[in-house]
Amino acid sequence: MEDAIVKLTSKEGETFDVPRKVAMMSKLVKDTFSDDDDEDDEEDETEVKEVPLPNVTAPVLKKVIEYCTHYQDEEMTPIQTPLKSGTLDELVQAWYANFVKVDRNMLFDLVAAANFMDIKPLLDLTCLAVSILIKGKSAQELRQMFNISAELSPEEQAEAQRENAVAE
Amino acid sequence: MFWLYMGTSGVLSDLVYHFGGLDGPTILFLATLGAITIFRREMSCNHCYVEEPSTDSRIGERTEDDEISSKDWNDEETEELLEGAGRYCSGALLAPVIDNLLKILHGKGNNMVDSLLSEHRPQTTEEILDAAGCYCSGIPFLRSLFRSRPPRSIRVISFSHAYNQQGFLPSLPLDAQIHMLSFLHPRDIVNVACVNKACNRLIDEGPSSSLVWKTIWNRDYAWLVESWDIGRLAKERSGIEPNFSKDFYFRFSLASTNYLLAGQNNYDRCLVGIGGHIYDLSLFLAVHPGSPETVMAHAGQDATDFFARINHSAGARQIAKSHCVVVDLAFVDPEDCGAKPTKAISLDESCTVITAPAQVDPPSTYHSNTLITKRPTLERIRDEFLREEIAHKALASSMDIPALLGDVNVYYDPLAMKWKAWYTSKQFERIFIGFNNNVKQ
Repeated sequence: MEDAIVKLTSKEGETFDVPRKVAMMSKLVKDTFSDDDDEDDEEDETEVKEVPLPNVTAPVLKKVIEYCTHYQDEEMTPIQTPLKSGTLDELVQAWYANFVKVDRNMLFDLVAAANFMDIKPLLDLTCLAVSILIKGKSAQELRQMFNISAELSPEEQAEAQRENAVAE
Repeated sequence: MFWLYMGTSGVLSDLVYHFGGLDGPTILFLATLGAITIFRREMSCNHCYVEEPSTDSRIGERTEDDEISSKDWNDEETEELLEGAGRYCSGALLAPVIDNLLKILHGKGNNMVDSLLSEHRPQTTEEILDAAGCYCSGIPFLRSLFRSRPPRSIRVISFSHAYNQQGFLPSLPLDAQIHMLSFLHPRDIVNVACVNKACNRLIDEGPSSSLVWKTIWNRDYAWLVESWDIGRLAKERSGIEPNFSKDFYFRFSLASTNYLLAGQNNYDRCLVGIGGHIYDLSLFLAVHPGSPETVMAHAGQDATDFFARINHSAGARQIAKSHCVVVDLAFVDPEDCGAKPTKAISLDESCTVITAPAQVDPPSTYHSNTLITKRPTLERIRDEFLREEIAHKALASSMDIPALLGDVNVYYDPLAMKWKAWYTSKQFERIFIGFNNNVKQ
């Protein structure tokens, strides 16, 4: 049972062989298995199971597996909120800080994948990385950074700023 | 076939349970159900797959188009397919048949069948968002989203799509966006609200905003009224669950000391707020150099000004430190917010459904700056709050209350969203009063 293999299939149909223990970090995979166990308990348990992940692309899935594999050796420090430090290195171990030093699209894809596959520590880490991008930035800086148009008239912008003015 | 059988028998056993007490109609009913069980194959939506021999021969004839469409995930088709799967499992296919039967038998079958079916999937956006709320508070989101279990993992897709085009980063699911905000200081969150309309909607309006602030409040303050006995008394007095919004969060942070401590000024329990933090002086009363009465006259509320006026020595402050039970992090570090218990406080862990607080050491320095400016808040909310407070204090002092010890103490109840007051009677009882009309500013 311990060295059983789970096959995770990406959107493109590429299949990754992952040790069962690693794959079980995903609650989605875990739930799929517990469903199966209930249904056909008499079935051969050593059979290799395949889990389709139709909205996770191969490069993202590869990163996710890399994370889950490393997590087995070194658990990630739980994250304290609200953030006091603006740098990842002070909040999590070096390996995890480096893990999310990827381009923004990859980071967002990782958030979506962690959310979809229901991997709590990975979701925490990736959301933390995005939070750090947001932390301490003005609305204007955020618009530029994420390339979002304001879609607000100058009056509406002023109104929003007034409504949300922080008392000093 | 297995699932159909399970689904059908589930529905049947429920029905039998409900109508087991009836005689005449029950026999007829059971007979009908028996017939359904026997002829379930003919009634099933997929009997053609089981019984039509032509299915096998068609496999060879598959065209290239078929191949592509099976790989290419078309949302509508998926949705339809999954919908089918959902019914297939839940026995909903039989619903119209059963429904009609019940109508004939009792003329009132609708409600029950409806309630049986409605258990299976959350239907409205609000329900989905609510499920996301559970996720934020630590209950696995997917589990609660499918109260009945998903037949296969792929069914999740249709729900992820429902989130799209919302909020700050439209490409990401809403609950992930809220998760991101949950790491941030309220100052940063209100900043995000100014970015564009979608962000503004996410944080300032509608069901998503109440989720955002519920998450942040759970993180920062919820334990005060959920697992601290003093706070639970305050919540009992309110007799109402909080209604989450941005205003609620900031008003709670402004009102918390006076709200939580209201009435806690007797010999058994003497609590006082100084410089944002809360001190439990119950054990210290007897040895306080001033009389216990002096302390009691200012207990049960924020006494920062009085404490500062008396000019307490460094030694006295050191003693106070050892009695500190709740630390307001904003007064220790401006980058921080929320309240944390010290090791001196006892918490009822059994009802900590929300974020369990990490205990902190009492602050070593006492900040004499006025309370309200240190707590994270918004200009508009703070100004409204202070004006209302002044108005209600004036109202309270103009009240004619006989047999009163000390002052009438005014506090804002953030859960009930009302200003209230309390005083000590000559018989040393704590009397709580409400204002007939809250003064609106």
